[in-house]
Amino acid sequence: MSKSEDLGLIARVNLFGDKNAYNKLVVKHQSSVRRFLMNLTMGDSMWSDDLAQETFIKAYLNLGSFQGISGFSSWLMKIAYRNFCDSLRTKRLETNLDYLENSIHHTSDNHFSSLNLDLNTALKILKPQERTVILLFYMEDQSQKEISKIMNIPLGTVKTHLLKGKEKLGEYLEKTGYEPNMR
Amino acid sequence: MKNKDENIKQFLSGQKLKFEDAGFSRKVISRLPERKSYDWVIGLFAFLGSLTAGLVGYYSKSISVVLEIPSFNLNQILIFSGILALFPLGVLCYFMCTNQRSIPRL
Repeated sequence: MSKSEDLGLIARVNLFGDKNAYNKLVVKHQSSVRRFLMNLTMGDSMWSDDLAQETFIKAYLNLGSFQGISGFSSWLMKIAYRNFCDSLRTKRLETNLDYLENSIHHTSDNHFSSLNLDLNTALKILKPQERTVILLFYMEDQSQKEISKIMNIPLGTVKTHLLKGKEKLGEYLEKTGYEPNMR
Repeated sequence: MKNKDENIKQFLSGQKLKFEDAGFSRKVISRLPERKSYDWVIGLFAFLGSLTAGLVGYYSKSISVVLEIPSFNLNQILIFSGILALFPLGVLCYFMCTNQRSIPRL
């Protein structure tokens, strides 16, 4: 489905309240949103799925405000990221890092948790904002400008986080002896 | 640095999982609240449009000039206004008949 098809479906939802059209949008974008949130929550699938559901519900309620300047996926990522930050705050923890470090040991036992353990271990070395920028840039194929809008931080800050994140992650992969064609 | 960048790209793309829907979208749709219906706005504008078309046809001679008919009696004006009103009424009927469709059960 192309961006113009996304816009067509959004128009159907806005004009006619067509839930079938919204269902198609959810089916198309659910994988990327859930993956992004799964990685942000360091593999906590229950938490990330709850956040993902809230993301799509909030998107539905505010669909009238989507202007189409950025892509629909970028807009969803923005809502998802905000939901994640709000959820983290409401859990009333001292620091974000402490909670997310602990969450690696409490992830639900599922297929994704075991596969992603080395990714979570690698992401652990990064600061939360560096982690988010790296995930959005490399895994969700968002441009630096889009990341700046998603995270609501200046473009210069995005570039700094990206640079530092790449350095740390690059060094970590070298130390662990990662070879590109290992998998 | 280029090598590091390539390593990172390869590492992260290898970890890029695809999530199957497996009922996720269904759960989302079932939790969606009902949106307010603004169909009455369409009906209102359809009515106003028809009324305007009828009044313009009745009070101005523009229609008879366009059609080059020397005289235009009330019946003809009403028929013409009715034809003009067909389009907005048709649109109104379409919107009222095609309300929210239910999501088919999987």
